[in-house]
Amino acid sequence: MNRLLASIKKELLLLSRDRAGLAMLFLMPVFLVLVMTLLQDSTFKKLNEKQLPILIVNHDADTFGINIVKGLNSANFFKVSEDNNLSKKELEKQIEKGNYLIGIIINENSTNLIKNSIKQKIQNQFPEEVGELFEMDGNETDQVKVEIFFDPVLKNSYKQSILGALKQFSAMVEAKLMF
Amino acid sequence: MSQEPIIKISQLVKKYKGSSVNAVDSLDLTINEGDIFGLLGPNGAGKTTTISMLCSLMSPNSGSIIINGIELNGNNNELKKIIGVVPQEIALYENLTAKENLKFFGEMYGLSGKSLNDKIEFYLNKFSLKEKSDKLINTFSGGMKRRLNLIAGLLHSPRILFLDEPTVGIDVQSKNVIIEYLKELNKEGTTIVYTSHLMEEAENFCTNISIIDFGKEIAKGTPKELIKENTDCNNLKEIFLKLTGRSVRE
Repeated sequence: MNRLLASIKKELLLLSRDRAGLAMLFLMPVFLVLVMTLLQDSTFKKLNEKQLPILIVNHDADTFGINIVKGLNSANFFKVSEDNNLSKKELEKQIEKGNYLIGIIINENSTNLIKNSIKQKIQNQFPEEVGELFEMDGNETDQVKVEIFFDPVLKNSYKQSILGALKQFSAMVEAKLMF
Repeated sequence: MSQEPIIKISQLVKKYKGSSVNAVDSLDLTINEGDIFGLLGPNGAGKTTTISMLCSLMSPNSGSIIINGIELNGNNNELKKIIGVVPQEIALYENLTAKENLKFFGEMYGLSGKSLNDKIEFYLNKFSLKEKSDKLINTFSGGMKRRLNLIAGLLHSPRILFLDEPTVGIDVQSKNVIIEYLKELNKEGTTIVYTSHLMEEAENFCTNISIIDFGKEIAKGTPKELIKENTDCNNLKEIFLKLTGRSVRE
């Protein structure tokens, strides 16, 4: 025990006199945290200053399409351009040329598809009710509502955040329509 | 003084990994209690390897070492209490003061309190280091470090003291203080096993000598006996050169 205490005392004395060692022990982590914070901060700043150009072709002039465009505009993260007369090929060309990093086509009737999907879900929850609870607007419920095109140079993290944002808008619209 | 062997080495062999030759090759040595035993040899002769095995810092490939009637094996705690080691390299902490270093080594030997402090004071005075006792070792000269290195091995009053080139690279004054004190210690009964390249020093200091080369003993006896046996040589240095050759070693 005496030897252990002697060793601990000796190590503490040595450490207290080893300025370089102390700096490595305490200042380096502080320095590292500072550098990492500055790096992350500059990344966010760049991202906020340099908005990503998005071209939207909105064929759904109803709640879903309007809310997507509105949501992307209010995010301050994207420079949103809307041209509803473009075809899918024309939009792809714009992305290929590098004029836009992201292209989004909101298909016609998307809002109705969402509404039908909601009705279908409710119907499935109460299958023993007499007859149909709702009258469906058409038969389609699971068609693609939105098509997204990315420039290959776009980082995967950006792609994921855009997909996440769109899912969030879609869920918000569904909730709005449900209640 | 007793002439009982306190250290007996029989057929000791040590071969380092990757080496084609034995560093110590079937070495037999007998060291009597109260001797100042000089283990001499050129560079690479096996002196430090032998001392390291005697201090349990290294284990031999074969052979036996008996110290004070106890054979060295893995558990030598009792033996460690009666031996003191002063290594060739300075084994001190540069960022501790002389006193702090000695206190640490004393506590490692199981000493503490007033008895340890008294011993530290005694040795610091004896080796003229009292005034520098609170200075960091990194401010010390080579001679001062050597003296302090010696004190660290003496604190627990060992019966056998192993010294691996204790006077290498120091001034005449420091060398003299060390040798005179070692003689004093020997008179009080401490057996000293000492390695050196300094033949004149060994001739005057040692009571018995063994010259080894390539891990084997090539001559042994008192300095006077060795000179008597080699009639063509006037001193130990000439005998040493005659036996080990004049070519430079690695």
